[in-house]
Amino acid sequence: MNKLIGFTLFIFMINGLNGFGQNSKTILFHSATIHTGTGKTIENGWMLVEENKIKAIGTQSETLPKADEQISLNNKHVWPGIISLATTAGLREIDAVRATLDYSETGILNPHVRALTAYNTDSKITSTLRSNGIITLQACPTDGLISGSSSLFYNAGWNWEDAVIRKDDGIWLNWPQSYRPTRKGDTTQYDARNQKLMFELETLFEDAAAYKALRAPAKPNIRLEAMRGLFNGTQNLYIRANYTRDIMNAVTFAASKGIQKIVLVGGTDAHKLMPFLKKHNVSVILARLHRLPDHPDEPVDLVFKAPAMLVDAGITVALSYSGDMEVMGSRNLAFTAGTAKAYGLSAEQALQLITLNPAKIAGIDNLTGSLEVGKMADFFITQGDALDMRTAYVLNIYIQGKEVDSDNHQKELYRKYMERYGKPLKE
Amino acid sequence: MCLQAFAQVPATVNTLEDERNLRHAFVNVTLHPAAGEVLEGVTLLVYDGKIEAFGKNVAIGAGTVVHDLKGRHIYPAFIELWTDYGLQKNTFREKTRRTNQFGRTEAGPYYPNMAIHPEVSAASDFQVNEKAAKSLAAAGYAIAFTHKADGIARGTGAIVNLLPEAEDAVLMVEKAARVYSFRKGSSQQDYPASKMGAIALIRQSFADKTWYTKGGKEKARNLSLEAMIEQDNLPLLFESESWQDNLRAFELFGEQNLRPIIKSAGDEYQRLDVFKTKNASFIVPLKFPEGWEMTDPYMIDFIALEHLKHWETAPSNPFLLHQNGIEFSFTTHGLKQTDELFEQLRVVHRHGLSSKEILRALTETPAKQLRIFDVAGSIAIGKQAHFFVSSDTLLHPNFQVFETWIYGKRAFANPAAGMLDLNGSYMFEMENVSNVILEVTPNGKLSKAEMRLGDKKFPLEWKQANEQVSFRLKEPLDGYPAIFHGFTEKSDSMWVLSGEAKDSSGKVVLWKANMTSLYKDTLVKESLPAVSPFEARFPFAAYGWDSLPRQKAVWFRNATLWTAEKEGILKNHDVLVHAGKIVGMGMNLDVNRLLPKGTPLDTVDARGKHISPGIIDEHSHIAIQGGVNEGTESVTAEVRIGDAVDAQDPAIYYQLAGGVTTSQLLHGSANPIGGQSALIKLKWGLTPEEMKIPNAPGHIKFALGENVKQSNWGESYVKRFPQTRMGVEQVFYDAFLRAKTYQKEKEAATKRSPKGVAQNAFRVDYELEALAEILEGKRHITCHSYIQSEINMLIHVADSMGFAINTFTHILEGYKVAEQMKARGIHASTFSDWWAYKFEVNDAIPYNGALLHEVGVVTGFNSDDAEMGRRLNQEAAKAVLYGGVSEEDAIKFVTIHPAKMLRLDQQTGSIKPGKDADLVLWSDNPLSIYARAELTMIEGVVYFDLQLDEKKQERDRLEKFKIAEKMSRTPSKKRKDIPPRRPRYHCDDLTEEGDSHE
Repeated sequence: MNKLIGFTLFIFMINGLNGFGQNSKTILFHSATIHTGTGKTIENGWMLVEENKIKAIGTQSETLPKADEQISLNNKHVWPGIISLATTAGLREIDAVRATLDYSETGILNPHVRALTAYNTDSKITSTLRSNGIITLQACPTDGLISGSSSLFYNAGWNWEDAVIRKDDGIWLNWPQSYRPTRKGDTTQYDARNQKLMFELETLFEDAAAYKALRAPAKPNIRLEAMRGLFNGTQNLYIRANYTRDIMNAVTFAASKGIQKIVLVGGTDAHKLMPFLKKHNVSVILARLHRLPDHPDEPVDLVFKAPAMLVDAGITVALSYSGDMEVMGSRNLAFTAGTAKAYGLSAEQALQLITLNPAKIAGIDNLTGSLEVGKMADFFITQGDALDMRTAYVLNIYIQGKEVDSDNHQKELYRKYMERYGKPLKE
Repeated sequence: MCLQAFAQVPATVNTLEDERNLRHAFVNVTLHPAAGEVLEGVTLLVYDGKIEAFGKNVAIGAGTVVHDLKGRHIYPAFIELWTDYGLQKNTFREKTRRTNQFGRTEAGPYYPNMAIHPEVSAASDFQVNEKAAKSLAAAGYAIAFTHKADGIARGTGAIVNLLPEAEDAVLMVEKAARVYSFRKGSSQQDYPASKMGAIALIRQSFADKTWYTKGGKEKARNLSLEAMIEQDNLPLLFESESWQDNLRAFELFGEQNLRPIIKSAGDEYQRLDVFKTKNASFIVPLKFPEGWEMTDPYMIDFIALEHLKHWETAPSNPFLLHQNGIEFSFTTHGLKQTDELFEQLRVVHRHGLSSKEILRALTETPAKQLRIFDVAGSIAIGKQAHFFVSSDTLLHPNFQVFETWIYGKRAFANPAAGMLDLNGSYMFEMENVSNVILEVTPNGKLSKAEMRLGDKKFPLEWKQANEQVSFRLKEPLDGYPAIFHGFTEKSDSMWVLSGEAKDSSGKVVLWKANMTSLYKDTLVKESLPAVSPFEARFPFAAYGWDSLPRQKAVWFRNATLWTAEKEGILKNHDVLVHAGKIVGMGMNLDVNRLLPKGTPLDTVDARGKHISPGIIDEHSHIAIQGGVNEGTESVTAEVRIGDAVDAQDPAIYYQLAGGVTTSQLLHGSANPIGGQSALIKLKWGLTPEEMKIPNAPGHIKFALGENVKQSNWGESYVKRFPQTRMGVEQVFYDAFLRAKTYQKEKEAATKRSPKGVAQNAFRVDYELEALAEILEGKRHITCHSYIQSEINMLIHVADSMGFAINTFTHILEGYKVAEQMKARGIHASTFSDWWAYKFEVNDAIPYNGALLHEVGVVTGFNSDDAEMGRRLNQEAAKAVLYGGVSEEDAIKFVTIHPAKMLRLDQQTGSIKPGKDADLVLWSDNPLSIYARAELTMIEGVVYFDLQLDEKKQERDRLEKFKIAEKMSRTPSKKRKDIPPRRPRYHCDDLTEEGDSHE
């Protein structure tokens, strides 16, 4: 019982003190190209970090502030930490080994299932993501109709308790897909299945809406308890839907149930419904941009153009790497933002797709997601353009003002074998 | 050919003798003895099952039954070639799962694979089925070729007539043709599980037949092979699923100098130019695709243009075949009711095919295809008397079969024959009455009628009997008699009704009604959109070409050249392309010196742009039809991806847009020794054969590790050997030991006869042939591999068995055995950064490529994935990111290095005069995420052009809407489902549909 009441208390609790230790000094990073993530690029700029936060940002033409330590970056680039949403990072290790998979619970209605406590900070995979500048991860359950709730983590920490940034930020709903290919032309089987699923959904949301009014239910219900935040705007409803009719049905459904914050995930057809999404104030987390056309005959580069179309329409868009091999592959997330740039966005807009916009969507933008005064000093440093694999080599990574390890198991093996073959390291 | 005598063996009957072998004379006939011939007002004389005479002056002797047809029509009866008439219906579901069923499930001295059963004879299983015979006869058919559509070598079909008599009476040809397909049917054996497997199996069965003929019979008796030998001179029918299957059949049976007659899928219009050159002969379906009902405005997104265009064009297929001089007959196969035939014939006619050719395709051509034109297929003196009597000409909307005569006997008489189709609009006239319209419309099988005065309607009670009509007003009407009676008469194709009526005083009034329009005509005129003129498209789908692109001389000026040669990256350089080759490169090139005088030349200003060699994907599974893995057995070296290349896969176009020009299409990794590769250039719009690189060196897929052990396929995959890496090693030893023995036997057999192998009782085994080629250095191994132990293992097997390993592909732990590989010149084709998808890739590192390269192994990055395949230039950039390979070398990972692996480096893979002009023009540094391929050229032909691509996109978008709109206006049955997507294969996909992702 206490445990259940507890649920409502720690929803939307931002954890400010993680296990990274305190950086008690002030550090000035200067002579850098600073990509703030707010739409600005400061050439020849500086950034003052005090304890775990950004204290000031400026350009070299101003007088440099005093600091305990000064680091000249020699025109290197500083970027806000990359945020990877809609991922099973920390919940899976080896796809083909069932024992290492913790993202898909059995049953179809699992709003009570939480990614939080299954999140593995010692995943070998997430360390390789960190090495590529991915500083924040949203670990999400998948499958079923309601998969459970996600949480946001710093991509470093001793355990989930100190890595977590925001617990249970939203509930994940897989919208039943209505466009289903069939071999024999018979759609009745799917229609019947979808009707059944819709019945389950309708009932669940009606019950949850009624339940939320009970402050101390005589008979607590673990599922309905987990859904309270959806109705008061403290939790997102993340809806995985891809195609037009499904997106419209899903958003209309959620809005009619009084859900405050609706986030569309996947959204392959979102660019066909922009006025509709705008009207309902829906944010979009796009599926992996590096994919094949979603529909037969579609222009070969339409998937690459979609982010620019949505951004131009004023919709808040984030990129994800969801799909096959999404966790290990998400070290390429920044390069998909590069593709969005190649197909219509400015460099600053493209960067926002993986920094400030996901922070806004996940409700952590007051804390991280851009390099702004007062926000956490979460950033990484590269020699060149972080959105282009050609130049994206990451030199240093800072989380809450403290440099974290950019090494990983793969780099170790690389060094070991370069040594074995008597070759000099190139990095 | 001696076709059965109709001397029936007398059966015992429980009645008195009732043979009435009388002469029949059909007089006043409009006779259509053969396609394009009409004789009016003639007599047809039939006796003893044969046509005795026809013409104007045919004498009718005493004792003749005379039928006065009053101008009605007689046509030669039709011949149906694709039916299972008289055979048990197929009830099996084709097996798609693997169950470790390696051998036959039924014993017997037959072929080891149960999908090959040439010994099956339709004639011996045949049982007359009166109901089925009647439904065919009712549609004008007298003869059917029947076979059981089950299996790859299905056996022989029989030709029967459709009389409801004893089997021995109706059987015309016991073994009229042998039938083949690429579908294994009811066989419960795992093999084959793919199209290429089916093709390999057919190929092997023909080799086995040869061996059997040359002496194999002395070692074993095999009734299947004996049946094959016996069928040597029979026509060969092949059931196709697409125009590409047609081509596969031509190739496969062409190896045996056989020309198949193809039961078509109705899509030959897609490559008429090719079939024209093949001297092809088809049996084409009259079943045309259904349209879709678009349940919402976005549903069209899910229906590929190729489906929409097929819907639109399929009814024109017969006309287009005819227009191109290609022989075909019709089959009703696929129609729900045989009598839908006539509606379909009118559709075909509306799409351009003349009535003459329609009749030919139902009579003469099928008769010729199955070699019975000497006795059937037209009305000619001495031929068997198979014909039908009809109300009208074949394509008339009122056409009805009244009677069908088979072998001189009336097999079918239409009960509705007396019932005239009077439906239509009439102008009714009577004393003191004018401007009245009589409207006769169908009411089930009967008709109903009403009179119209202005906008008022007066229903009638309407009756028809033979040639008389009678009707009465349901409600009395002033000035009109209550009851009318009259007769029918035909003028042209219109009816004239006239008669008398009695008014209330008993006075007789005369009336007349002249037909002004036929009911069916009105329907047709109102509802059907016009037939669009046919326009070719290569391929007949989205992104296709209106006409095939041509080779050009092109001068690229002032580009940054990524040569992938020792010259490295050259700024401000020109490249000149002529006749498919790179003919010059340099600064400020003197093109006149390099080109023959007067060569038309395109100039491309490439200032600020980059040109790289065309990208080469060493490991691709695109453009494969019918399954990427045979994999049902541990060794399937006999299967050839080249037999199943799919030239219509849009992934070809996607990858061209990413600068890919050459791909090795590899067999999957489901077994230790997979199948032979196809090396293709992505010549979008061409046929599979044209895409294959001519005289390309042979390659084959090997595989190690988890896929081969079936580790990740679930608990039902624990029986096929091997299940461990220990077992995998032994499979290779066993295979190569067998191959060595085979080589010896083959050599010995060749020695015995100066004329070569085929002269002896030596059995050509295509599996061992491929392995022997490896031993002889003529076929190169690409081995799917991950971890160091297994890589080392295969190196040892190769060393001890005396063969070379060409390339380890995937090879994610290659960095641990780089020196062993380097010492043997083995290439590495790896992923840039994939890992963690299974246990064996746990030590995979993105530095693998750089490490191997540092050690001196020729290293490349491949895709194994249709999506990554279109971004291989970006993958190459990861060699810079992870391990600091120079940009100059990184581009080689996807160009000259894979060219070396494929042994194509003399012809492609770098920019060098004399090499194929396989080039990509990039908007930016080709290793950059921001670079887009603006032009992709293969052998001097531009197969992708970014600007043209935009035009194609717009064209396709508009065309989809145009066809969808037409579809919505066409009144016919529609489907609401979404067609299945084209499969995307990966290494470990076991089924045709493709299912896994990594």
